[in-house]
Amino acid sequence: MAYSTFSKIPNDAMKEPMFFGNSVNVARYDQQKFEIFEKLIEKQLSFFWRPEEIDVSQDRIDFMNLPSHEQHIFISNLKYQTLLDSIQGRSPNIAFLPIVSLPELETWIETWSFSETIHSRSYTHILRNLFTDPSEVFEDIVTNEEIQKRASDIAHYYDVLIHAVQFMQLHGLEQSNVKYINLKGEEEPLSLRSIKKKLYLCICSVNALESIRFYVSFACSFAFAERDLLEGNAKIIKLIARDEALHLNSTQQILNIWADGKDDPEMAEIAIECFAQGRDIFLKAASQEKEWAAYLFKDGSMIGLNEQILCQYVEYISNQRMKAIGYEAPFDIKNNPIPWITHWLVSDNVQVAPQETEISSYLVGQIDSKVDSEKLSHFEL
Amino acid sequence: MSFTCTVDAHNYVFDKHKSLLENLEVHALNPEYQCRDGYCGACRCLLLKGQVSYTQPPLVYLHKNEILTCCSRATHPIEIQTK
Ligand code: FES
Ligand SMILES: [Fe+2]
Ligand SMILES: [Fe+2]
Repeated sequence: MAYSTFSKIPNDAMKEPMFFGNSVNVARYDQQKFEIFEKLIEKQLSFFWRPEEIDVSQDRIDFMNLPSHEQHIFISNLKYQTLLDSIQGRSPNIAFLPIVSLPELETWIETWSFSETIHSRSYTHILRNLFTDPSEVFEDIVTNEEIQKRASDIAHYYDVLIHAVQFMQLHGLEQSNVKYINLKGEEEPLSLRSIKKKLYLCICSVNALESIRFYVSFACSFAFAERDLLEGNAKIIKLIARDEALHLNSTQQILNIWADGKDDPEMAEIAIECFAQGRDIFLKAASQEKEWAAYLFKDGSMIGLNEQILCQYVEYISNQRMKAIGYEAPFDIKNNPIPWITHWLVSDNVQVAPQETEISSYLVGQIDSKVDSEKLSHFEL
Repeated sequence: MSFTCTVDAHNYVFDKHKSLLENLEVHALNPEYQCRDGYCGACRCLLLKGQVSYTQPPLVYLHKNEILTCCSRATHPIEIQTK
């Protein structure tokens, strides 16, 4: 099952599964098995933004004036976000493109990954403004133990999938001359089904990353802005959050499509088989985020947010996310413990219009062609 | 102009020109929402009775009987469950 950049098999893409069918050949969107992915592409493109559009210069002063335990919260949170987006900027491409079989899904994966690279660039934009030399912050991401703990967990599912797929595409699964040695250095019998399981768990882990882990970090960013601090940063995070809502939507779609038997029937079986394992991925992400909250607030909490409230938010958001993919809500909490986060997450007041004062550069040619005649009704000539 | 919406077993008068989400807000029911644009799923709730129509197609994967309140309306009595 070698990968081909242009498969010559005259297949019907409408009959392919999302993954592990034939490689995509013609990038055509006139017919689509799952239209939703093109809708997500369109939305993602309409969200296009650049970090340079947001003026973060005021943030430096705010940051300097923070007490040191709050600086620790802010910087640690930013490091964590940088890590998550470093992973997301490359992994969907490397892990999913070699095995995707639908043109609209292939393009969604590319669009998704591309938007993650914008997120990564925006952290540099923020950090460059806060520090003359941000190297120390970046370098710590690879060595900081608290960050490492979750990094290895997140990267693990991707790495396991990528490794097995590479073996399959190089050697094939129909031979017995070359043994598959997995990432642990152990011999592992590989079958298409076992690789599909790795894909299933990987998508669960990506969904947990984008739908739970990221939102915990957003809460911290917005908690500063609630006090009118580091608002440039919050504006950027608001744009990132808007993108992430789409990303997590896409992996929810994939999981639900599989579970509801609308795609590869084997994936529907795997969804049942791996139900408990998938659940554990979410619960583990939730408990790691709680540990992270303890680390963030180790030297003291901040006005509006402390370890306890953040942990409640972890539980609340985990309930929402798990329900969305067919799990029972695992935690008792019913109401959002930080209701103020909503006005930061609502996207109809995301402002990236060029007339906004805080914007230092903008793209030309962005026009809104929808004219609401009611708005013009007060004009008199 | 209006119809009755039963929300978690209580009756309210809803305006059919407003989205269900806006109606829930009018009655200060603290509805969940985020994007208000049909793609995040935060406003998802259960439709127990009646029918809703969408002003724009929802981009969220909806299970049986689930609806998004931010981009849907109704004209006749409905019953929903938000929690
Ligand atoms: S508020 Fe996002 S889908 Fe309704
Ligand atoms: Fe991202
Ligand atoms: Fe993302």
